[in-house]
This record gives sequence, structure tokens and C-alpha cells, in this order.
Amino acid sequence: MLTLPCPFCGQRDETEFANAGPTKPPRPDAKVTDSDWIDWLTVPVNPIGYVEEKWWHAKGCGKWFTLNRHTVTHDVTTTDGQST
Amino acid sequence: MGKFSAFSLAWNALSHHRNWPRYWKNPPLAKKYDVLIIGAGGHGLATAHYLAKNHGITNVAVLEKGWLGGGNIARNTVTIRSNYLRDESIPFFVKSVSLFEGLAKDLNFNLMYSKRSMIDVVQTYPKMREIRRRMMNGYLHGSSYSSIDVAELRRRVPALTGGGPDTRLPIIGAMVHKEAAVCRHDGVAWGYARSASSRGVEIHQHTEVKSLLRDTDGTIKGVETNRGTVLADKVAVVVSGHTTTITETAGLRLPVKSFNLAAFVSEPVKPLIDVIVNCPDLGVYLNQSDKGELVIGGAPDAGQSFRRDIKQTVFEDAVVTMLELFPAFRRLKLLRQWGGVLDIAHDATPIISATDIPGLFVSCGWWGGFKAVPAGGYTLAHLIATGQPHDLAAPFTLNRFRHLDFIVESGTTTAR
Repeated sequence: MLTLPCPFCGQRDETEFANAGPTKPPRPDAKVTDSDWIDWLTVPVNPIGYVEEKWWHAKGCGKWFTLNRHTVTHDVTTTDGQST
Repeated sequence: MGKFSAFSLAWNALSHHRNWPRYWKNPPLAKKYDVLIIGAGGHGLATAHYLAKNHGITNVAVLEKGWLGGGNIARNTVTIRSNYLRDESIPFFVKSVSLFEGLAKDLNFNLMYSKRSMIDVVQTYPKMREIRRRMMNGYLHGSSYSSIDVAELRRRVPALTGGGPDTRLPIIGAMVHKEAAVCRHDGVAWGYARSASSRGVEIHQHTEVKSLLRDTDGTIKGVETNRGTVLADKVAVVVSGHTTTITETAGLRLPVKSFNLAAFVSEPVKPLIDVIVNCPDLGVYLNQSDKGELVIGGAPDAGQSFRRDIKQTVFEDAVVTMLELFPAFRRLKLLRQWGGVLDIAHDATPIISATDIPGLFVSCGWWGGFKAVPAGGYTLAHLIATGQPHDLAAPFTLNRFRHLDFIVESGTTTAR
């Protein structure tokens, strides 16, 4: 069973969490071109490897947090590279 | 390529069935083709078939990393249906369902096509409202969807003994989609491959495309494979969940994410369920195969994934929810489980489109793309041959992301 590191509750079962997809780069400012704006808005990263993604401890404390998870091995590290 | 018939069966019986011709040829890999199709799955092979049959383009090679029909065409739950929501989607899937109906004859290949209705078991009022909305839109486009009451549902699916008035989610009604069918999924790949090969299309298995090659003017030039460079002016990427992996080698990013969707089968039992049962409120669906196995599918794994197995939590969720409605299945042994990598855009509508790279076409975002194999191949072949999207698939281009003109089908697939 995959467990995820909630910053408040510690390692918890993945069934307590909701996945909110990969994180986006910072929102572009108003000078952005149309194509870059559409790109930012609609194109997610889809790597075979580590993806930085958001999770919500929906059935726990309600904390939102970010981690890196490998899309093949499900290996999880925190965003500063710490293994969990 | 011999024609399959009662006569050829009798003729080959005389030689103890040792002299049947091979389904497809294995010619050497040439340096250049008119069209390259990456991926010998359902959609790729269907595209090759319709390119040759409808457009007379036969200098085509289908390149496959593994073996023919070994990807998602071997990993789906064989449901063919057209009960979608949007005006843009329904005619496309209606076309696909009707192509499936005549496909065995078209391909001269027994697909064990079996029309058998899909019944949606409804347990919440929001789902009932959503599904009635689909029923009315279906009427407009020739996709039938009709409401039945709980007594009629239990008459048609006697194994459905759970979901009574005292349970967590009592059944409040059901919806029948009459056109729904199942067929032999491997047969679809083999039939299309045999037909395409007999018309001159080459199929190269164990030929992995490592990267796409672009000319100095930015147009597509060919592909780099583990068997060397292959050139072509037109390349179609038809590789389901690994679409972005391939297109990113040419610097093209696409609005899709890949997920793992899994299924499993029980031991074979006597005929028990003669329809496809879909339980959208529980996220589980099942049908019974010709061998008698119950083919059961559940919800996708939550995060992006490139795995081809099933996660224990997904498996347990599907089994537990299924047992709420079918308590008698508690005693069934489960034999096999598997998963596939599917890609999906956030509006859950497929993409059949030319791209910013001239000569490069993509067919992706199918999620469960089995039902769409004939129409997907039919319209992609039209796009490759004429350069213009087919009317049925015109709403499915990448332009809809440019104009933020989404066709939101989330909720009508298992992706919710």
C-alpha cells in the first residue's frame, strides 16, 4: 500500500488523499503571448519519471501539500529531495 | 491472402489445418514510406486499413514497439457504446458503433460481435439527472437510451440482488443503452492487420520509435527507430498513453495526461449476465465473456501513471463496491488482473488532429478507446489522406484548446 507524507499527520494511507494533478509553473503576467498563455493553461507535464504534484489530505486533516512521485515506481520524495 | 469462408474451412480441414496462410506479411523495413503510423494497436491498424481501402494509399508502414495488438487493444473491457453527452461526440460514436456492426464482414474476420445492451444502474439523483440529460441528447442523434424501473432491472439482471431499500446506496432506477455490444478485442487488431497487409501496408513489429525527426524547415522528416532511420512525409502517432513521450522528442507538448486503468476477470461460470452492467455511482462495470469469465473494471488510479498493473487499493475498491450489488459474487475466484496506460485531455474528449509540426498527426486522449477504433481509424485516415479533418472528427482537433472551446465529456467515461 502506498503511503504519502502529510506534513501535519505524517505517513498516511493513500486512500485518505485526493490527487490534484501536477503543479504548474508560476502564472504568467499580463504581457504573455496568446500561445504561451494557452500552453500554461492547458498543457500539463506528463513525464515517465518524477512528477511534482499536489495532494489534499481530504479524509484527514485537510492539508494541501506538494511532493514528487515517480509515475512508474510510485517512489515518493518531498519537493526538497528528501526520501520519505 | 486467402478468403475465410465455409469452403476454405472445409478445404483446409483436408490438410489438417496445417496450410492456412499467415495473417500478415513480414517484409524487410524500407528506407522511406509515404505514411508512417506509430503503434500497431486498434487505432493504428484501423487507420492503415482505411488509408488503403478508402484512399488508395498503400505505401504505409505501421511501426510497433512490442507485438501487434499487445497494448491497450489487448487490455480493455471490450465495451462498444455511444451514450455520450455532447452534440459533437454522439454522432462520432454512433458512426463507430455502426462500423463495428458491419466490421466482421468488411474485414472477412470473425470478431464474435455480440450486441447485448448496456444497463446503467443508477443509485444517486445527481447521476439520474445527468443520465437523463444524456438520454435526451441521444434521441437527437440516434443513440438510444431508455429508462427502466428497478423491478425491470432486477428481471433483466437476476444476479443483481444487492442495492435494496435498506442499503447504503439503494438503486433508484436504470438506463438501457440498446446499441451497446461486445466483441473479440484481439480479433479487431488481427482483422485490421490482415486486411491492411493484404492491401499492401507493411507492419513492422519490434520496431521501437526512439524519436521523431524534423527537417530544417521544421516539417516532419521521419523517425529514428531501433532498426535505423525511416523516412516519411507524414507520420501519425497513435500510441495511447505514450503519445507525449513520442511527441516531446520533437518538442511538441500536448494537453493530455497519462493514467493507469485496470481490469480483472473471475473464473468462468455458467451464463449469468447477458448485458453489460455499468454502475457509475460505484465506479465499477462488468460483463460476461463467451468463456464465462466475468470481466470487471474499476476506477482509474488517482495520479498520473505509466504502470500496466493494478494497484491493490483500486482492486479492493472495485471488488467491495461490486459485492454491494452482487453479493453472490463473494464466492467467485478472481483469475487475472491487468492494467493499461491511457491518456486523457481534461475535457475527456479525444484528439484527432494535425499538429504545429507540418506532417505530424496525433490521435490521442481516447481514454477507453476501444469503442472508437473503427471511427477513429476512419477519420484519422481521412485527415492524413486529405489534410482536412473529417466532418465527424472536426470538433476533436487541437484547435479547441487554442480557442478554449472544450467538449466536456467528463462523467460519461470512467474518468471522473
